[in-house]
Amino acid sequence: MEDSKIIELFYERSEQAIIELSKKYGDTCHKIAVNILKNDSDAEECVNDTYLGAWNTIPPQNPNPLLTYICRIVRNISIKRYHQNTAKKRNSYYDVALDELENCLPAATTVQDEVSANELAELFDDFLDGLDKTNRIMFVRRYWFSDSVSDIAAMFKMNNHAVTVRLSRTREKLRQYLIEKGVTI
Amino acid sequence: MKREKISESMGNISSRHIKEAAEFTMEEKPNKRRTTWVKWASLAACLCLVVMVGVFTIPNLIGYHSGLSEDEIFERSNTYFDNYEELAAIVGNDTLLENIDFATLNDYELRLVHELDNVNDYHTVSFVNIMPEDEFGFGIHFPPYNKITANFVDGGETVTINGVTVQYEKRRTEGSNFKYDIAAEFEYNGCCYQIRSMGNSDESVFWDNLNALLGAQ
Repeated sequence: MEDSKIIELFYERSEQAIIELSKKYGDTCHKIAVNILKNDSDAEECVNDTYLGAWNTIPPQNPNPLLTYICRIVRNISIKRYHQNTAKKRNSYYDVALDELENCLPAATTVQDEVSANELAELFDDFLDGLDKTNRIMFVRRYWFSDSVSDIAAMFKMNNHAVTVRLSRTREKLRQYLIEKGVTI
Repeated sequence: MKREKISESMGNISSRHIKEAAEFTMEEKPNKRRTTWVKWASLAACLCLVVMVGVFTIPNLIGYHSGLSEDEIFERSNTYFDNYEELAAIVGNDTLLENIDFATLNDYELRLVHELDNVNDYHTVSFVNIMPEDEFGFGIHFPPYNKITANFVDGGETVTINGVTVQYEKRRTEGSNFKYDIAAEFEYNGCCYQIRSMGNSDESVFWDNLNALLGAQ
């Protein structure tokens, strides 16, 4: 079903909206939640909370594209759940991916030097625009969707080595890009 | 604090990037031809690395490699270069890479295979010119290479181009995604060149690239 039709169902307050949303984007949402939480039942709850979030916000929202709207909701809910669950041990793909990024970004020496999260997001966008499509998608799959290297390799029909090397080169490019922009975090 | 900020910032990237990455899995089909080539090239590079390690350095490296994953070994023994000049600063400019006009290539991979963490202790340069319908790639094996290159081209025919004798063979393409698949091998300036070209245009792509490599165009 077209996204616009699903949104119409939300506007009509039809519960069919949730069914259609689940049919179309349920797997994508579940994958994002599992990558972050590494736990099927928690992931399922987060996906259900995502549907509830969509139900509560559409209307008045009329998201376009619907896919990224839903993905953002499930990512935010899953990260929140992850932080609630674990003061324990870091072990999800989300943490591994975050470690990789954290280690490559230049650190600020004083608080005043720090760039804000929104400014940094804009810089990420500019940086991503400058990458070729394959490297850009790999980067977003790894650091936004928290996909494992194996998942990305399967997606691109490459071997794990090639993906690891490509990601490593892209992180280094990002580091250089941020240094050139005088950015510290 | 740094982690939270990075997470938040990544979370706030533009929807266009999220949409592109999300839809890639659902709609786009990966390029099978490139896949096959990458697998082949990776296999060849890994084979070279494994044999080189076995023949020359196993006594020293058994202990050194232990505890490293395959990914780590690959990453630390393979270095990709964005331009030829950086590679030439290491391997010198007396290889046939000098004949390649990199500025005219749309997409290529240039990689040096070396000992762990030491680009100056290298064995092989791997190059692939990735074209829309075809690929032309080769490995340059630096001496001593004779023990790692046996039977890449077994039989076939020979042709002399610019004074260099090239042995080549056409490989079977039944059941593959290619119209042609050619392997070639020759020696130049003490190095062994092993070439593979495949694609869906025609064999002239192989011959044009080979002639250019050997400075005959």
